[in-house]
Amino acid sequence: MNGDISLIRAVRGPIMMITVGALFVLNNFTPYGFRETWPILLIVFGLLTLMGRGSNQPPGGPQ
Amino acid sequence: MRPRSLTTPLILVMLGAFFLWRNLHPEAPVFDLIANYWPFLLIAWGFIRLLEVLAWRASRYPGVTGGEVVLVIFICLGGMGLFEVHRHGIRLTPAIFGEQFEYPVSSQMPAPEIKRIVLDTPRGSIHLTGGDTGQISVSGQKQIRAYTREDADRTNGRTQLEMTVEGDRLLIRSHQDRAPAEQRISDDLEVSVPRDVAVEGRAGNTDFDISDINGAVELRSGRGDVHLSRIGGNVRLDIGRSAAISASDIHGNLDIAGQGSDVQIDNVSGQVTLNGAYVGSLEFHNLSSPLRVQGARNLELRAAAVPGTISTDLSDLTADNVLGPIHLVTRSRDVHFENFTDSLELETDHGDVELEPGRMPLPRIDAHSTSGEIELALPEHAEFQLQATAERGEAVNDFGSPINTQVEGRRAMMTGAVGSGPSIRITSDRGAVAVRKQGSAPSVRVPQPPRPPAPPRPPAPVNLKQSEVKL
Repeated sequence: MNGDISLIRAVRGPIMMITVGALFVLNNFTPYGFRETWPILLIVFGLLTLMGRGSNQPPGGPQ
Repeated sequence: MRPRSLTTPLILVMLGAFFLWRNLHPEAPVFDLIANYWPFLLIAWGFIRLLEVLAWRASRYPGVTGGEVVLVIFICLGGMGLFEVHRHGIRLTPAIFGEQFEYPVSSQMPAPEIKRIVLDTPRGSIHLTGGDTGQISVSGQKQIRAYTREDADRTNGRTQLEMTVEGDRLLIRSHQDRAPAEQRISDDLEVSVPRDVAVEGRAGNTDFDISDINGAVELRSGRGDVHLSRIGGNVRLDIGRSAAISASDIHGNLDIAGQGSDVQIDNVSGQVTLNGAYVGSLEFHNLSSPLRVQGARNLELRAAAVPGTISTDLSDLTADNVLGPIHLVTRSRDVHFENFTDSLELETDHGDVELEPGRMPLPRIDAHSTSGEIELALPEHAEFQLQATAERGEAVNDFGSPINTQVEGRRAMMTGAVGSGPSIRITSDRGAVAVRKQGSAPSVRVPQPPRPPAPPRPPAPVNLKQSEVKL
């Protein structure tokens, strides 16, 4: 289980980086500017944190 | 052992490859490509790190470091900046690496019916002179900065100077817009035209020097200097940014708008309007019609005519021999006005004011300074009605008993009438006011109000710290 937690924590940075890059690609090549799309960063970060918490707390309760 | 990330060496390889490409193909629009495609760097970097994490899962991979986060933020800021610059049409591929090639330019045609010359040269300089000639001739030089002579030759072929007649207009076009983005092209042209035409110029970055034209002159340019002399018609200049503008011997109106540094205007028969922010020195000399300066460095100036001189920079404004009514509002300049007529309305925030009307009858004066002295020097036999107030300062009176001086606390006032002259009202919120006789020694220059003697201090209790400091 700990391996999962550290894995999710470890992939969080790279995934955020890819998301930032993707948003700027949208900014540069589509009408959707970073000014409109930045909340996606919050959503992705929130989801990743949620996944980390989810694997941190198995159905039996907090460890 | 903790595995080390591959990104640093990969970034080094990419940087090396980028500069190698840049050096081997200097004409490639590398910076423009980067401005558009930099986000893919972040995506690639993110994928590399993701793969690393998955591959080294067992080794308790540490994730993204703080240094990397900072670097990503800097890349984002830099990339956004590059993209915005690129989006606004500024080409980032520098042309300074190429070589300069020069080509002669020469063209002429008879111009019996031409009334107006339109110059369309985005970059370069134009020296246009009117004369007793029936022909229009253009000569000069074209500079093309390119990487090879073949490129420059090709561009030269595409950007031949063109003279087109449209009705009574002659359009002189240099077609610089046909040059590729990575080349820089400019034309330095000598143009000779019949004296009676009007001249219109449209330019991006061009210096104009125009003389001996009887018609109107209208120039619009993003950046450049302008020198005009002996122009018969109205002149209108709209120059985005200029280092120097000069105009002399203009018979029509002169209208200047834009931003820049120095402006010098001499001998203008028509009305002069200057609208914009100019941070250098402004000089006006011998203007027979009204002058109007608006918004230039918090300066607002109107005068009926300037037979003498007005000169100003960021710290001083000096005027001699100006016909009123005069209206002057300035933020922080020392003002010195001599020999003016009719009336003067003056308002300044910071700066001392010296007024010497010089002539009789005296003009009406209304001067206000928020912070600074106001000194008025009047002829010995002047007649006037005075109301001078120093809200926090001293009042100095050279005219004796007709003027009554009152001091109430920190406020000093002088009121009274000498004969039956015009009203003179001077007010300083923080500074002295003085009325002196012209020609009297500047000893009347207002001294700083004496400070009241400091009350004796009670003996301070001796403590260790103070005695230590004194030691």
